[in-house]
Amino acid sequence: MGESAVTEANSRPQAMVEDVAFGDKPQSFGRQAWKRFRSHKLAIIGIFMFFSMVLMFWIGPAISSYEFDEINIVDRAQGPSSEHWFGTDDLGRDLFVRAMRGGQFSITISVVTGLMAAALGGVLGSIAGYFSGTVDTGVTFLINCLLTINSLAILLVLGVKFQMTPLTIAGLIAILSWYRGARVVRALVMQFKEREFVLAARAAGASNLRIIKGHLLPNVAGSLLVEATLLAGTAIILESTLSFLGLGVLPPETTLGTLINEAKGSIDTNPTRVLIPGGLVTLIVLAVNFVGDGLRDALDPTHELEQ
Amino acid sequence: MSEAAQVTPPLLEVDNLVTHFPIRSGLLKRTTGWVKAVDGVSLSVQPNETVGIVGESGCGKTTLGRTILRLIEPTAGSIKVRGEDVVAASSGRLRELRKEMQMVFQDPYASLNPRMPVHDIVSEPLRIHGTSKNEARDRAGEYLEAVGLLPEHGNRYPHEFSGGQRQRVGIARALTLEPDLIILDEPVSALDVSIQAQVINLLEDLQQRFKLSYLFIAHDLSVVRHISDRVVVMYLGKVAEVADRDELYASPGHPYTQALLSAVPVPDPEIEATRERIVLHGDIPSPADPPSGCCFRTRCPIATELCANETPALKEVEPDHWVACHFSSI
Amino acid sequence: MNVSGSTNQPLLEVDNMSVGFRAKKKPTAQAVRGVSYSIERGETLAIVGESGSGKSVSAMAMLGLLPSSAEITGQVRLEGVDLLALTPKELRTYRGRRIAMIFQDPMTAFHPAFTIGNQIAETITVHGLANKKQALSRAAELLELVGVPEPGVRVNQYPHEYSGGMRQRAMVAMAIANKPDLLIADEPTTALDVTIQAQVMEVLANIQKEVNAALILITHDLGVVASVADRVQVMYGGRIVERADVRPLFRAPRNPYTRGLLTSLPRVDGARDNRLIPIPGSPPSILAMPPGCAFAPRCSYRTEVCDASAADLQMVVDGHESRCHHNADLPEWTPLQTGSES
Repeated sequence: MGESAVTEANSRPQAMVEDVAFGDKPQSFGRQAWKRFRSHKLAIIGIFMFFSMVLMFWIGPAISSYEFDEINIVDRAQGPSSEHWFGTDDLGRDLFVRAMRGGQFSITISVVTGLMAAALGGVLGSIAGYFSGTVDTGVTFLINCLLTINSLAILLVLGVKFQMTPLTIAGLIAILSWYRGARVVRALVMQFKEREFVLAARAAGASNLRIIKGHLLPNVAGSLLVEATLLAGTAIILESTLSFLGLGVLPPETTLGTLINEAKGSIDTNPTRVLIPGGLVTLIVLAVNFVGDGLRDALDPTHELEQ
Repeated sequence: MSEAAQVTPPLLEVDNLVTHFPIRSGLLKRTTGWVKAVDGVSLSVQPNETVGIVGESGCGKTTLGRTILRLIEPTAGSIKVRGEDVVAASSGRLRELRKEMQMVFQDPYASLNPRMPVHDIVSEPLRIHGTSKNEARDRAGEYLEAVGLLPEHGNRYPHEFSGGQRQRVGIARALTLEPDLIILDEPVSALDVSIQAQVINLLEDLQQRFKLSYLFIAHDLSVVRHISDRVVVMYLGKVAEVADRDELYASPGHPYTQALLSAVPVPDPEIEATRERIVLHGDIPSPADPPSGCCFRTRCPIATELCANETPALKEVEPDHWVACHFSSI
Repeated sequence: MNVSGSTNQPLLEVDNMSVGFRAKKKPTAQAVRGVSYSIERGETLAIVGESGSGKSVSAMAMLGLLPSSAEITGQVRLEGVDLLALTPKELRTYRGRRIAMIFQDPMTAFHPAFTIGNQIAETITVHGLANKKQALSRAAELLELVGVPEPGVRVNQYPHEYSGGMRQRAMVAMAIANKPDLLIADEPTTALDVTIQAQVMEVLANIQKEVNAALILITHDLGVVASVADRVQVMYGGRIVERADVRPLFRAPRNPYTRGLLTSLPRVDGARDNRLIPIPGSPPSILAMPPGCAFAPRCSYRTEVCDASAADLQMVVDGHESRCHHNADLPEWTPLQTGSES
């Protein structure tokens, strides 16, 4: 082999530089995440559904000429009409405005519960998974306790004893269900903390806080978000159940569950009174879950490769 | 201190290092035994030297590397960097000491955080030690260039790189704190043959440019021969043999080293046709239950009763050539 | 390509086989591009290549082991019968009976919930060659043959009770259970320690001679190739780039890629202690193959013609083929060429 060939093959590391051939231009994490989110059809549908409902619930009462607690005995128990779009209830209150009002509370409760439970679960789960030992034993014990508890029963007892506001309902559901996120996060953290990139960070002198915040949480965030959306869905259903049993918010305040409860007597004569709030509950849960799926993929920079 | 300074002190000095992992079982998780991953290892690394550590799976080489950085706490023994005790160091002092020793890992996929752009990965060690964000970014760019990448590649995520390029990123990360010693744990074994040579050459260049010492941990005897000045052969948590590279490969003194060297096929069919191969029988014993006496005796072609009863000490059979065998053939 | 020069039909003939993978919204990935070769009984053919070279895919394709997204063209004839034209049911009567495969990872190749003996016995009974009891005692004999100690006990143990080397030997035992005509070993020793690798390669070579099977050894390890292969074909970018008997190939490699592989390799015998000469760059992605010669972007002999078209596999000297536009004007090969002193 000629001398020139040797030196040519040996010219490094400059020769290496040109090998790095990337297809597209680099983009910021946000842009890439948005691109991935956009390519997820259901997520787009979900986010569209979600914001349409938010818009409808908050603007709807304003365009209606009725108040949610405005009693009008004369018009009571009517079916849908051009005057009362969703009909009226037994006290003649306009069901369209009441459904919008209930929707506001249901969405708030689900979002607040999802966020609180995820935050609580994320923090406790990552601490338990990362430190193991006594902390882990403690958190695992708590998780196991919550696993054996019937959340609905606890909520019922508390509902009988105390007056519920939408916020206390959200808080209580979060306290009773954070363990679901915690279990997922704990398992993932235990798996990720043995990865070599975490060892590399420790070798560079990174503190535990930095490792959890910078390396572990970003890697478990996607799964935690999905868990949060599932929790948001569960919360809305739990709240509806509670209200359906008459233990939700205090009248004349209302939620979608309360509306279903109030309508149960007229299910044969006027089924739309049940179907409308029931349908809205389903749509919120679906929308939230679709968005969760999309977020998980959007937050995973490797997602495009694995298609 | 002034007396000791007259002879160049070793950069790294490991003395009788022991790392045992408890085996817990049962409901109460009581310790029922110990995995003797590293069992009394001594070695030293001089400035600008490459010490290779070879051995098969279960020999404790990876645990040894991680224990030296105190990513795993040692059970006993001492680790000194420029004479300073790493084992006794407080967490604050340990953080400072880690600036002197960095690590490159085997798996170029698992060793980079998939959620971090490469700039952040390479500059993180600097950020941890208080460098400002902009400066850390500039320096990261410089080190990316030093390993044969471009600073603008820093905006990319790890999955956009090939295996060899990722390993370069891992090397750049290890360089940013300007360490004196880099522990390389199987840095090329996950790479394709044609890429391995690129990374080996890069490591050699960086060693010269930054005056680095390497502790090169690998199972591939060819690669270790190529890069090392001195070689330590490990078997079941213990050192079987230590010698200068040429001496060890030319006249291995331990029957395990001899078998290991003869087991590696050479890419030359004419040599292979005439080569005598020592094929060892049996499997590598579990480090949880090593044989009594010499731990190699169960597979050793020349073992006697003495080997079962007495653990051979590491003896200097030739100047700077140490063998732990009762019947060393030198 | 019939080295012995006999007029008999070869055992296996692969004729212009290509494998592509379809994917949504992406170009079809060309993993194997027009590969032809043949192999005789008792012969060991090594297929060498790096990841993405198509060496494993070509073997999986002939056994019908690829996912349904794979498009396979060409012919693979085992004694004249085209395997690619068989129905899945017909192909199953060949797999494990006339052609057997040894995989890289013996842990995932065995089912964890059945004993090793049961799994070996099943490969015999599934082809109706023996009843269950006979097959089990045959399994113990096979384990003894491949050097598993205490085969009578081991036959009733589960995969997790075996060490890695023993599992790989058990897989060899399973592969030869029905005395196949063709053994395909895909990186059989890559996951093993070097002293265990030596044991397994010894067993595999002995067994192959004993049952007079043809062995296709797929590997990236040129040392293993040098120690066991009769013939070698080197693959790059889905094509065969060089093919020769093992000695001429290592004595005087003709293709720039093969040469590059050899100069990249450090040697345990110290034959290349100076600086290595790596191949610059990385292997091409199967989604974006260079239009001409796949190796051209990394090749130090590259000229315009290399970018324009891929060369044919040409006979350079008797029995030694290479795919290179510069076959005629490539410089002589100096065996232990090393880089300048570092």
